[in-house]
Amino acid sequence: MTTFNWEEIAQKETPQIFKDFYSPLIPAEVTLEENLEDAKCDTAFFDFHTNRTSISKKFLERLCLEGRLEPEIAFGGILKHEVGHYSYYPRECSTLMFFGHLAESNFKEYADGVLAYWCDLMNNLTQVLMKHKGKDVRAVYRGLARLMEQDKLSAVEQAVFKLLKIAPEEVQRTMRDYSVDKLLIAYYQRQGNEDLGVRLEKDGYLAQKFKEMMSINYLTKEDEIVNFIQFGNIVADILKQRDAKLPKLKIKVRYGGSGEDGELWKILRRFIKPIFEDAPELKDFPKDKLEEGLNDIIRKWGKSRYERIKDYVERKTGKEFDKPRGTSRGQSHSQQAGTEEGIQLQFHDGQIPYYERLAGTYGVSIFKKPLMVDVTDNYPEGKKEFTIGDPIRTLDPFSTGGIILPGITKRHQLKAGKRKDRLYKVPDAWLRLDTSGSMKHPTKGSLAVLCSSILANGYWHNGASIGVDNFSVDMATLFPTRDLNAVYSLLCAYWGGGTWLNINKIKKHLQKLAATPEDARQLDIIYTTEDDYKKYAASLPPEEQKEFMEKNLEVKMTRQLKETYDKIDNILITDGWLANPEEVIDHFNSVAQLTRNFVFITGSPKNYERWKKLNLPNTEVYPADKKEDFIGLTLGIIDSLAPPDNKPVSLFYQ
Amino acid sequence: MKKGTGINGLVREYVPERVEENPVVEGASDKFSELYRKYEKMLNFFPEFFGIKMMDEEAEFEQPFVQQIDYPYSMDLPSGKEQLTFLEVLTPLEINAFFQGMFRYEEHENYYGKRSGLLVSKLIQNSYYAGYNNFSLQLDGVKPVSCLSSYLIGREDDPLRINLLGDGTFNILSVEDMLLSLSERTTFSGLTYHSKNCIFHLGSLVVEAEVHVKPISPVNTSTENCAYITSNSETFQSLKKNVFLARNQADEPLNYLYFQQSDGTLIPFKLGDYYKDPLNVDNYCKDRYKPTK
Repeated sequence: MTTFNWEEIAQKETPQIFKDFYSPLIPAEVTLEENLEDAKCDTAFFDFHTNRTSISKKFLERLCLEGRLEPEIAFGGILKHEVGHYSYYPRECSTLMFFGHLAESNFKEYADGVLAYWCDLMNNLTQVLMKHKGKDVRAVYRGLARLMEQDKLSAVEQAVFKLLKIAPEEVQRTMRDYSVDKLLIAYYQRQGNEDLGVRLEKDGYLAQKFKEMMSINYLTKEDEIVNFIQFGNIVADILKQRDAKLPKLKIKVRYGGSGEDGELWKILRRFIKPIFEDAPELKDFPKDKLEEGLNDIIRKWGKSRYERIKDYVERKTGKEFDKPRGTSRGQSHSQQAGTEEGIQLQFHDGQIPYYERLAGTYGVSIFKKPLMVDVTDNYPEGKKEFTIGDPIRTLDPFSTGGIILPGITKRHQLKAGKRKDRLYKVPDAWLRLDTSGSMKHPTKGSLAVLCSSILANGYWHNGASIGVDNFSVDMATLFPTRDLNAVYSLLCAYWGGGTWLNINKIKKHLQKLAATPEDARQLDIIYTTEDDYKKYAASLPPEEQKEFMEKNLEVKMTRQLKETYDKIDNILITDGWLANPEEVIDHFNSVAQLTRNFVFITGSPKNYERWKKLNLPNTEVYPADKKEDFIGLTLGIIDSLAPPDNKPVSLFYQ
Repeated sequence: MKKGTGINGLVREYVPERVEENPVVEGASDKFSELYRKYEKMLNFFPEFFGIKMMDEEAEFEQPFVQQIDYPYSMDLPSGKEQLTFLEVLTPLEINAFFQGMFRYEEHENYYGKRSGLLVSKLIQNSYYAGYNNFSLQLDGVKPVSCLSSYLIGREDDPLRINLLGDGTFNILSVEDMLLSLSERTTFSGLTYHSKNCIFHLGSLVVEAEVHVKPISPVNTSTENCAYITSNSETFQSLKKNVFLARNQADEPLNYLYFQQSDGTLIPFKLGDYYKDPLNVDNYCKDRYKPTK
């Protein structure tokens, strides 16, 4: 039975409090429980699954009766603190992920404590500094300070301490002298310029720590990491001192035989936990929010940092992210493949989830182009009696002179038929990824692999197929496919030798695709080596051999081959250090009539400038030196695709 | 026909939001922001000599940059020459916090280069001149930084003390009157060239790379009067091959090596008559040195 009608107070106060937070998009409702002993904490907390605040009436009563607060103020202050966790800090679970992993490496056993106090500080400080809106929050901390002041050991607690051979007075003195909560309330008192009833002993330990806290500007966003480390040092030092004073307590609480659910642990726990103990933890967030958080992290930080943070999140939540998976077309390639001698292609399928997630946070806009495609149309074939329920558009009005007569009037029977037509569509993409030794390894966070993954994703989501040539001196080819896993697998593979793009083989592959498109698309990865090249050349008749070796092999452009070239976007991702640049440029020029060419030059601004100056027809050159280059990427707006002189002034009057 | 209360009614019922002043934290400073801005400039722009001159000439800049308070970091910017001076004095805890915060630049192509390490060294030196000592740098979670704690100079009566904590990798160049302790998991890549009067307390870590006491360039001087202490048998084996390579004109070793036993006592490693023949060092050692493992 409670002294106050909390439901009525909640109904009255909640709308104004949410208005103070500019009406966030969460339910403006509060769950009031008699007590929250079985919940995450026994005071109040914000549930990030339901976006609702739960408050213990028992705790509210204590704040009013022992903390001498008005019930409306107590309720308002607690609700503001809780909603503040949603609106101010941490707000995003990526914040918790990042600072959690930082705390773990810096503060070890005190990491959780530091993080909890940090979240509370950053949430409260914003509110405490507000003259009007922060009034309730300041009042709650005044109430909490009174509760701390009046806190006495219960008979059971005294008995427990006697059993542990710890003097109860020593416990109380230590809790008072080494209290992070007390320090924080003193800090709010100073910053809010309002007496919250905390007095720190002059020149005492906490007063010294208070000075250190005052030297930090917590609201400077760009110094957030430094501020966190400094704050963490202060908190960890206090907790360390407290544990040093009460070593037995620490041992019993941490390693008590009764475990974390035991009675002893329950009794002793209140001496080491923060007074509010409501700070959000990663395990409070649903999986989709954790995934979003990791997406934020992967965009902001490099590969190694992301992997550290992901590892931390997995340990904290017990959930697995970025599960490695095999390729869905049942390829049984080993970790290595390629030539018998010389450099081997190394597969790094374990890296696929990283590039897949990172590429998923970028978008690419691909302009459609008119392609010759098979179109399905309906045409009338035969007639049948019109019956009620048949679509009226199939009715043949001439069969009965404009009158519908049941059983006599006819309707057209429609049949589907295919025809060729030019339609605006996104072509398939053929990614030619340079993985020579000068390119960054996929395990080290390669921009070239990222770039290829973004492009593969973009084409795939537009319904196109993606082919891959992973080349160094040798080449591994995957014909255009909708199997994105197989594409990723080859994109994450690495040769690591010299750089030579086998143009003749590319032409051969396109011929094969034109001749037997269905068969070619089902093929597994094809390896082309320098030896193959020589063997193939040797097998040709002498006159063709000469042509082949001199690289002036002419492709006979059949209609099918033209269509194949037309349907493919030719994309080269390289650092520009090619052994056969003339041959590659020549190829680009020759296919430019039919195919759009895109060249991404990574890690070498000089090479980018060189390629740009070539002004190749129907070819766009992009820099790929940093992640930011992939923001707002657009492919396919090229004037030469439809040169102005050939373009009719108006399509209508054509 | 009029419906509702109209605009007048709306205005009458509207209660304007209370205006809050912009929150300002009392008593705090923004010294880190300015320092990071300067650091970012250092990362983006080379000093005049970088990439042009050789190691010795780089040291001609690096040493005074760390050791002289107002020695500038001169750069050629597109807008002209600019000089950065670092007069900031941070407390040891603040230096560690600043060092930790530097990792937001870890993806920068020049992060690993000497500039990050030199700046931290300079901050330590400034702080030491201002009377602070006992610096701790937490290496856990930080990518390796070259030249961390290099060119530092202490005083004989109050040597500069640095503790490197956590799991990380670092190297060190040209220090004087310094006591360096490493935590158990630190990987020490071992360049202690040109150091004088120092104690390198390597704890129980395993030295992955060898400790070098001989200079690369003949212009520089060898490490001199430095003591290396370890409690790890593998590290000990590694050290004994190198520590005594630096000799004076009488062919006597210039540095000292100690093995720390589990009770804390130090056993000096002396080469005696054998030191002239390094191949026999192991034979000499087996009587004196008993690994604790």
